[in-house]
Amino acid sequence: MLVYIVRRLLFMIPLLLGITIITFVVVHLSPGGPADMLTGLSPKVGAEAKARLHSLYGLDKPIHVQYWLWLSRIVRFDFGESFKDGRLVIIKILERLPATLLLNILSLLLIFFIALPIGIVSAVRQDSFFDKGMTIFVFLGFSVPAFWLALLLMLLFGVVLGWLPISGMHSVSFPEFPFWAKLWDMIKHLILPVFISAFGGLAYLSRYSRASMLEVLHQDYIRTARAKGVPEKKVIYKHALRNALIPIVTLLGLSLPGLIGGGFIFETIFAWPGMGRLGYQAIMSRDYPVVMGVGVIAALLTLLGNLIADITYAFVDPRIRYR
Amino acid sequence: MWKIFWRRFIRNKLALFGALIILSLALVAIIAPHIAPFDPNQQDILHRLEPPSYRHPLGTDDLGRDLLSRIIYGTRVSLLVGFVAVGIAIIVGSLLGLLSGYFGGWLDTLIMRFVDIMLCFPTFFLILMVIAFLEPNIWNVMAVIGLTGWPGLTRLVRGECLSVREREFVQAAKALGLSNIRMMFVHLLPNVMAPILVTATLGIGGAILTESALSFLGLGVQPPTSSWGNILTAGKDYITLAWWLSLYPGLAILITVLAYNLLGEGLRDVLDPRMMLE
Repeated sequence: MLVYIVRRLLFMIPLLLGITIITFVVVHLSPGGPADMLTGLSPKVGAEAKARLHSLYGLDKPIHVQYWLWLSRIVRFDFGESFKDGRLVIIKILERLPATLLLNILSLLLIFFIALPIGIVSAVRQDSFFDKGMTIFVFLGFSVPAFWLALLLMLLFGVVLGWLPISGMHSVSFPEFPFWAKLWDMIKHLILPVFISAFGGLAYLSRYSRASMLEVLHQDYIRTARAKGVPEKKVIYKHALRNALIPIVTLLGLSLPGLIGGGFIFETIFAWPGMGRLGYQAIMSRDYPVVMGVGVIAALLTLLGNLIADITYAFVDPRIRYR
Repeated sequence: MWKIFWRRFIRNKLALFGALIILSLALVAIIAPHIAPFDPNQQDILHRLEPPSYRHPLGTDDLGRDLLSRIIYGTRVSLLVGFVAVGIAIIVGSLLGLLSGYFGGWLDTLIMRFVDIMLCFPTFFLILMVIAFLEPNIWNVMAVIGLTGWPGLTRLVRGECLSVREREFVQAAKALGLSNIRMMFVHLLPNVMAPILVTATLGIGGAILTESALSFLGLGVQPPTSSWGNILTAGKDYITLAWWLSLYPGLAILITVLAYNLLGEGLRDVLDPRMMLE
C-alpha cells in the first residue's frame, strides 16, 4: 500500500511540471505580456524605468531562464506580489481558499448523498416510473447551462419569494449576530451556491451509479445469493451495493476538476469570496502573478483529488493494490 | 452496414427528435434575416425593458432591442461555435489518438502524458486565461474551445486503435507492406469512426455550453453581436426588472444542447458494436 502511494506521488511530479509549463507559456506568450502590463498603464514610465522593471522581474532574460527562475520560486509557494495591491499572491489565495473548499466539500457531500440513492433506486427498479423520471432528469442535467439555472433560482428564491440572499457569504450585519443567527445566515447564503455547483455532478453521478449498480446486479454472485434464499434487501444492500460503490468512489475525486472549474463562474455569479472569483477578477484586470498562482493551485487541488481517489480505490478494492 | 444503422436510427425516437430539432435550428440560422421581426441591433430607447407583448413576443432588452430577433440571430453563433470548435477538437484528438495507438512506444508515452496533464488542468480556467489574454472574439473562442477539447477523445481513439491493431485484417494489411499513412487512415480510422461520431455530437453540446458561459462572463462573443450567453449578462444585470431577459436565452441554450445530447446518446445506441452482434 505504502509503495503504491509513494509511486503515485512520484508520478505526480512530471504532471506538475507540465502544468507549470502550460501556465507559464500561456501567460508569457500572450500579447501585452506582464512587463507591458506593468508599465503600459502609465505613459509617464520611461524606457529606462521599463528596463529596470524588466530586470527586476527577470523579464529581460530568455524565456527558459525566466521559467526556471519562476519554477524555483513557486516550489516554495512564492508566487510574487499582486500587481494590483502589492500583497503576496499566496496570502491572497490562502485567504480565499477556505470559502472555496467549504463550497466544494459541501457540494461533494450533496452529490454523494443525493446522487447515489437516486442511482441505486433506479437501478433496482429498472424501467419503473422513477427510473424513467431520473433518466429525464439526467438528460436535463447534462443540457442545462448551470449559470442560467443559477440566474433562475436567484430570480425565484431571491427576488420573487425573497427567501434566500443572492450574493456573498454573510449579511452586512453578520458580525453583530449571536452564534445561531450567524450559522443560519451562513446556511442561507450557502444553499444556492452549493446546489448549483453540485448540479452537474448530481446528474453525472446518478447516471454512473445506476450503470454501476446495474452491472453488479447482473453478476453471478448476485444470482447465487438470490438462489440460496438471501432476502432481497440483503442482496441489494450487502452484496450488490458494496461492489457497486467501488468505481463510484473514484468518481468523487474525478469530479473535482469540474467543481473547481465551475467555481470560476459560480463564485462570480454569487459573489462568493473564493479562489475562483479571485482568479476571474485577476484575469479581468490582467494581474498576472495572481492568475498564475491561482492556475497552479487549482491544478494542484485537482491532482490531490485524483490522488485521494486513487488511494481510496486501492483501499476499497484489494485487487488493484499491488499493481 | 450503413443500412442497418439507418434503420435502427429511424426507430430510435429520441435520436430522431434530437436530429429534427437540430435541423430546424440550422434552418432558423440560415434564414434568420427573413424570420426575425426586427433588426437585432436596432435600438429603441423609448421601449426599453418592455415585457413580452404582441409587438415584441419575447420583450425587449435594456437598449430596446427585440429579444426574439436577438435570440434568432444568436442561433447562428451557437451552431457555428459548436461545429468549428468540435471540428478542431476532433481533428487534433483523432490524429494524436491514431498516432499514439498505431505507433506506440515513446510517441505513445509522450502523447498520453500530455493528455494526463491536460485532463487535470481545470479546462475552464485555461480557456478563461487564454481568451482574456488574447482578444475575446468569436474566432478565438472557437479556437480555444477546440484546442482544449481534444484530450478525452485522444484517449478514446488510442484505446480503440490498440484493440483494432491486433485484428487479422490489420495484420494482413501490414504483411502486404502498406505505408503507415495508408494503414492509419484507410484501415484504422474507419474502424474507430463510431466512437468519434458519438463524442463529436455530445461535444457540440458541451462547446455550446462553454461558449455561452464565456459570453456570459464577457469573454466570448462581444456585443453588439448577439449570442445567447451575452444576452444573459444583461439578464443578470436587470434580474429584478426583466425576467424575460434571463429566461428565454437560457431556454434556447437548453433546447439546443438537449437536442445534441439526445442525438449523441441515440447514435451511441445505434452504433455500439456490442449491439451489432444481437
